[in-house]
Amino acid sequence: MKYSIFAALRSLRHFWRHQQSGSTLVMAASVISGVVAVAGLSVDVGRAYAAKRALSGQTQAAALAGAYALAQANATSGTVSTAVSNWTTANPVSGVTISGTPTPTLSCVTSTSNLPTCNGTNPNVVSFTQTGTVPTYFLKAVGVSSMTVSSTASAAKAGGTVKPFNIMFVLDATGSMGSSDSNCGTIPGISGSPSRWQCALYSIQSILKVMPTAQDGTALMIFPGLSSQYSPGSGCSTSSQPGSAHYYATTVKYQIGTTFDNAYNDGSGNLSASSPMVRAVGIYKSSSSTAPCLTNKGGEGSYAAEVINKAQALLAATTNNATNVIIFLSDGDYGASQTNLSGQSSKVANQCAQAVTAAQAATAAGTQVFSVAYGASTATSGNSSSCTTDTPTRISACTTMQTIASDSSKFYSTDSNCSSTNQLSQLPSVFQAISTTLTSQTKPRLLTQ
Amino acid sequence: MLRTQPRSVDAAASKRRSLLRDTCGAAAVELAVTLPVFLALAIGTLKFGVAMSQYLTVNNAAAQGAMAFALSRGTTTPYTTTTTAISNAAPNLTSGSVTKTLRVGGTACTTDSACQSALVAGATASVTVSYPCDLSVLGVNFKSSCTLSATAAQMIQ
Repeated sequence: MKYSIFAALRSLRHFWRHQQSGSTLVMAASVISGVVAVAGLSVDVGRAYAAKRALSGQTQAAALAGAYALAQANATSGTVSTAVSNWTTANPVSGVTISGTPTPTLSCVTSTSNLPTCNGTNPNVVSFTQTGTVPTYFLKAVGVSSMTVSSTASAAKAGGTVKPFNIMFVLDATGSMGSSDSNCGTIPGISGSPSRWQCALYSIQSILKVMPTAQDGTALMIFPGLSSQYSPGSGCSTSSQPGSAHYYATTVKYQIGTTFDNAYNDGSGNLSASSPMVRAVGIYKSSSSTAPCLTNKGGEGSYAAEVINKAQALLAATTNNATNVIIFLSDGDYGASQTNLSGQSSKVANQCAQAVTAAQAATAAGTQVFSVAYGASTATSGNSSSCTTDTPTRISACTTMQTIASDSSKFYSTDSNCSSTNQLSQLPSVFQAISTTLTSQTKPRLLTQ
Repeated sequence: MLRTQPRSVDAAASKRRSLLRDTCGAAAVELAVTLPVFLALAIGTLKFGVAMSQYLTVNNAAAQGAMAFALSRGTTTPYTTTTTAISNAAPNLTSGSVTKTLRVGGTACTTDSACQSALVAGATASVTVSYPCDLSVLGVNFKSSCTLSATAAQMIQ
């Protein structure tokens, strides 16, 4: 036995030393097994990396889902945990087995600026950590059957010290707004095709419903202005609205009420009937509507440059460090007589261009100007010609409204002829979109670890 | 002397024997046997490595896309924003071959306006990114019609 082992070793040594034919094949076999092992290692590690990326994406999504739940009314650590576990159950990471039952932790973070205020009982951040295992294929051969991956994410809830908005509605109350607007769609409580005026009032109601009252004050100006200050009271009648005054008259009052209103809705999408803003524009509902206190009396032609300047001056005079917004609702066709303009001959020509100049000055001063066109004409000649005082540079009512907006994303139109890049056929959804744009800084966000 | 075999036969047999013992060119023969195996391994490793790298990219692009999609509620161009985010997250992939599928609550939307009206706060936005991969090595395709695909989801904010 001893002899045979030595003999075998000797012959093996002899083989290595002297027998070289076929040695490459032997070496190749050993090298290939090494190469396969390394390739297998890289496959397993690569899979683990891919799983870690997927896990971190899912963890971030779960933390944001928790932050969303934390921002809801009456949120508790329980509702946040439920939201996070519902999310991870509904969106599992394939290939990763999560260890245990991870639960999110809530905390009050003040080191990052612009987060919602917080204290010990009112947290603002959700942190979530998940650890899991990824099974291996090749490393099993060396006894490693799985690899551990882990991921942590923190998300702050919505809110934050968002800059509030001062929102000035500038509403065209001329006679031409009484024309019917077939593109407006249906309005609850209004039978048949609504007028441009009703459509505009409903637009204002729609945005007042969804704006956050805690942050955003609203005010309203109409043109032509009124001969005396009008602040609609309870149970107003349309006869209580003062008559229209000449543009540039010393006593003209454009603003309805005298302050920015912060009590226009109840926080649940219902307009507050006691708000002066809401009294002015009314509440259109499918039953028991509240009629608006305002009518489109008109009677002074149509001229917008002065009211835009006055709206901007009023916004510029506010001291609450808010972002100023003008929402301008009109048909865009201006052409008041010299009498209507209090005899100011220099204001008679190019009235549409004057409105655009006034709006662009407001934009230059930092105000965001949105414009909403109701049946604005695109014609610059013929019977339906618009902006007839604008010579020699003819522009249409539609172009006027487009250029009054600060940029194309802030222009909306009911009419497909006067096209807007915001192709929204229903105005309430337009205003939902405007409102979301204005409040979009309040979304939850991820924090660095 | 009696010759039992013709000389020529004897010579041929002897030559055969010497040929069997001859080790000249053995290395070439061994190379010919092992080279295809090594080549297949090397190319296979390379192709698999490329596919793995692309898979990581696809995974990352899906996560970035889902984030962009979930945050674009209230904007007018959610579809464009999301597809651009995916393309930006995958600069090394051939953009024409990347398939992007956007879903809100399981229903796919393919235009800005459709996605805009579908995005509702609290619903699930998911993004699937797919990319074709090539695992053929020396004429042998280890996975025909191979596709790398990753899906990521986010709650719409």
